[in-house]
Amino acid sequence: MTRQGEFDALLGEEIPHLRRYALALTGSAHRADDLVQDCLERALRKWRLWNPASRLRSWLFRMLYRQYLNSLRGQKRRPELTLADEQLPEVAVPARHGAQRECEELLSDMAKLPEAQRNALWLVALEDMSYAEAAWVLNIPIGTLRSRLARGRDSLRARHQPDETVQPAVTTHLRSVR
Amino acid sequence: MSHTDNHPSEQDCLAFVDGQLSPAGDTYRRVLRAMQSDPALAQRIRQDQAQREQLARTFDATLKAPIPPRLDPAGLRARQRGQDRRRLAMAASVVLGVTLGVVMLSDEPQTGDEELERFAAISLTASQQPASAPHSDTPVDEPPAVLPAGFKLTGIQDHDTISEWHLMDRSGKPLQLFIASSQEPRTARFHASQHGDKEVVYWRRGDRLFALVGERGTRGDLTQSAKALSEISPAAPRQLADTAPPSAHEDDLATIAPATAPITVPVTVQKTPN
Repeated sequence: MTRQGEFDALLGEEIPHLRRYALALTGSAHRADDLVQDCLERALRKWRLWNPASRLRSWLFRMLYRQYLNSLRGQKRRPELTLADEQLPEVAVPARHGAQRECEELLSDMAKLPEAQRNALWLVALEDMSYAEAAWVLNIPIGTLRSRLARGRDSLRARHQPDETVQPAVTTHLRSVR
Repeated sequence: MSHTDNHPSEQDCLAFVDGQLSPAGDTYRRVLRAMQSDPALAQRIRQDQAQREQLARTFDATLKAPIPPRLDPAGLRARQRGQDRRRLAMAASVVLGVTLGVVMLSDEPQTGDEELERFAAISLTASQQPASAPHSDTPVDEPPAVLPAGFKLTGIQDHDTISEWHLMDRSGKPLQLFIASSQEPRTARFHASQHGDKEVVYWRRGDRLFALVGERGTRGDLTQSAKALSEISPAAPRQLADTAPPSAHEDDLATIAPATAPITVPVTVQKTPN
């Protein structure tokens, strides 16, 4: 397989993670897929700039995040995340009553956080990135990332009390509320 | 990062929640010890961990969702290649247009034959395109015309309305002969022009237009080759459905000097800027 072919194959493996991150950022499945498509197109053009010694996911996330910021320039406001909307038909979440309510509350609380804190949490808490990696994706110092995470966690803790009786998964849908 | 009294800092606890600490490390063990001795801290850390897990669960289904075809890298790559080709073709068209403009506007037509001049300009430009390289030629099994002795046909490319023959002359130099059909059969003598590093000798014979392109500075040889090749009767380029065969204009050939007779070549160098 050529180097380009290998890159394309690796890229394909990252698409689910890109979609998840894009969905968290945009709150809309359609916008998320648009963003991912833009990111993939850009990555396919710039593939030679990726250093195979580094993690492809970080490189892609940084690209996607920049494109997301660019897309925000033309928008006045972003939608807030909550659950149960037909706008996101393909995004399922575990959702017996207790869990569904908790997810809904958590997303609602996340949506109330300042964007900078929320973006830090998406990468570390959702995508399981190291602090160094997340700071690189967001193009901020690692100390800034830590303080954003700490403030974000404090806010979430104050707002959200998890239900201890989380049940196994049943499918429901996410939605964005304007 | 850690406190001297062995109590973990806020940042240590945060790093513990986010899985940034190695279980084998001192800080990790310090946080565990603090959780055992401080129920409030333990509850806070567990709450953060629960939120983290819940967040992951909330979006987990996205990882398993089918990927829409429009995000398939192979499809996107193919689409990009198509876009690149279209851009290249557009750029080539612009270059061709500019070249044509330069060639046609920079001087009075040499022949008064606008069609022939335009054909010569197109041939010159086409000869400088990468696509004109012999390696992309159609293999030649049966030469479409009898060539003069010493000439060798190495390949043919059929463009829309123009046939491009790749030849070797008697001394082994590569030449490109462009042939097109004309709707107005008439005869014109040899003319020459140059552009860039190419030189062209062009003429008209009946309903065929010819342009022989070689390297710059070989006009003498090129003219001799053109004289020899002026006798061939090639088939019409593939894309044109001519109604009149070449032999229908034999009378016109009288005005073209035969290959054995001296030919007056009104070679006037085109004053085209490079």
